Amino acid sequence: MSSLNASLATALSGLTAEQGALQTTTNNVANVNTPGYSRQVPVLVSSDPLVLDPLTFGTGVTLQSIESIRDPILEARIQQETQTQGQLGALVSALSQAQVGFTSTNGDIGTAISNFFDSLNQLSTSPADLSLRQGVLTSAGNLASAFNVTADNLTTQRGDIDRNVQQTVSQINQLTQQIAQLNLQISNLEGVGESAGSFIDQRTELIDQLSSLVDVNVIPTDNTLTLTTANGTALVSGSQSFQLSTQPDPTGLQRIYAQGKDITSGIVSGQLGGELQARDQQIPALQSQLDTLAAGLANSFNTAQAGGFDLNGNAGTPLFNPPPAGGTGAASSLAVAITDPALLAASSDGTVGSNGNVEAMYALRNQGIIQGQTPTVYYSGIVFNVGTASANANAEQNASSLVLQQLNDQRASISGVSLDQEAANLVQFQQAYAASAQVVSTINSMMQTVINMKTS
Amino acid sequence: MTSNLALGSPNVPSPPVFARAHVLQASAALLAELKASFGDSQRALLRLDLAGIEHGTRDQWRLQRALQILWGVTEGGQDEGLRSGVDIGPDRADAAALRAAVLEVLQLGRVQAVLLARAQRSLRMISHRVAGPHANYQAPASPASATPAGNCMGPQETI
Repeated sequence: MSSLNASLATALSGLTAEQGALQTTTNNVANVNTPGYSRQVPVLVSSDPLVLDPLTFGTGVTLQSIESIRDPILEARIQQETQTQGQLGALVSALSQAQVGFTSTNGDIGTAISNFFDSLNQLSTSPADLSLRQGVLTSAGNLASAFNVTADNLTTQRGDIDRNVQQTVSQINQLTQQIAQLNLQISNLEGVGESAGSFIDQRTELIDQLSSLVDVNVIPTDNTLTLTTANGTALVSGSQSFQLSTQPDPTGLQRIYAQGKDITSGIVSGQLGGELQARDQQIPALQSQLDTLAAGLANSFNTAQAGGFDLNGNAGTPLFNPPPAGGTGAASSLAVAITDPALLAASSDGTVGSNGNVEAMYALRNQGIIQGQTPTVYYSGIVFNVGTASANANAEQNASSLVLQQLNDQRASISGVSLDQEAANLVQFQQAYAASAQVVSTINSMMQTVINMKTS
Repeated sequence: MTSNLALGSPNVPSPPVFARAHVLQASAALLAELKASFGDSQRALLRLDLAGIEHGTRDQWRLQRALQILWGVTEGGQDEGLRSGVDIGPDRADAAALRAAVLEVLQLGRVQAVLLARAQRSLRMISHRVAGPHANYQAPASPASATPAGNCMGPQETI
């Protein structure tokens, strides 16, 4: 048969459990604005019953655990989308910066090409006029300068991105170290059956941050997590983190290594992926197109010069310095080779008044001298390509932001703290606590009755 | 689909001639409607609400046609000034605002195209799951032939 003491213990278990539940609610309310916090719920279970044949008595309630509410699939999707977002952010930033050099209204290559051809057109009206000849040389110098500035800007931008790569790798290393430490703490707590909800929240937040930097695969194992890049390079395994390192290649650009292996080409997502894509693909492609244009123009005009005669009646010498073999670096090294305006080979027959050769030079404006396209059309193609790439990356980023926002809203609806819900829980737990306290008071009164029976 | 938004002048049969100011006003109203429609479509795409996507696409197609007709009937036919926002005379400010609205709509169109591609991938994944492990994933023998039962690939698709 049950005793008053047993009833008192049962009531006390209620008090303890409700107190724990109230503590959980208090913690939820306190963390309502904490980024990455997952709502916690108390898990209450009936205590093991006491069997006194033929009767079975309940022995109260136990607060078995405090669980954090999470959706692992949703979190994986958020991490994946965060990677895309990080990659597109880096790409959009790089392309927008590159685009500025091609779309400015003053001093851009397109304007310089037009001005140069216009100066040749003017010279054809009076081929012996030294001021018009000087005008052509000035325009040619401006054209060379426009190529130099744009190419140098791209080179500088590539160097800046390369430095960002190093910083990003350093951030990745810091995060993987912290995640490994949290893995250890979570494993230790869960190993002894305790709740590690707060640490798991912190780890999830750090994994989100890591996802924005690099492509991460999350592989859950017993009480811990393993993180790898998309191509399987280990970043974190349990309580151990694997540091990434950078080393310059022969061209001076940083390559990324993991445990001695070059993994640069395997990183395709996250901010690091976007930076590598801009540094190794997008900007070099633009540089290559600029070099093609510069080399094509220089070669065509040098050939045209060689076909005419200058004011002294001599065969024309190159107008531009010959571009490097293969064209690489032609834009940054483009320079006018002559300084004396009399050396412009405007004449086609050696006579001073002839404008045959300068007209031939002007005709290059409408000839397919750059891979079958006119210089202006080829340059427009470059501007169009960089503009389209930038607009598309921007649109991808906007779309990714919308999807990420939706996923975060979903996570908030599942894992976020609702103050209304917590207020209701607070009242519910408070009433239960008050009821248990009332039971204790009643048992106390009954015990007093028993004691009084003995003393009277 | 809406991603293929062409803002050029279509071939339209001998339309009436409107005053430039009225065209600007009407264009601004249509573009505002188009922006709102893109907003609705984006929400539908994020929810994978197929009926909403279809409705939005039809709406955008209607508005696109309306803009094409409107822009084809300004004084002087194809009005490059209207679209570029330059050389528009006394309506310069309105035209610049219109130009900004056009660019905004184009950007929304690009975003829509990306979201459509994502939705298509998601739906294809769902169709693969629904088809089950015994589905035939090989492309049909000829593009003209109908997709056989259990084959969840489109006629042009291969894995």
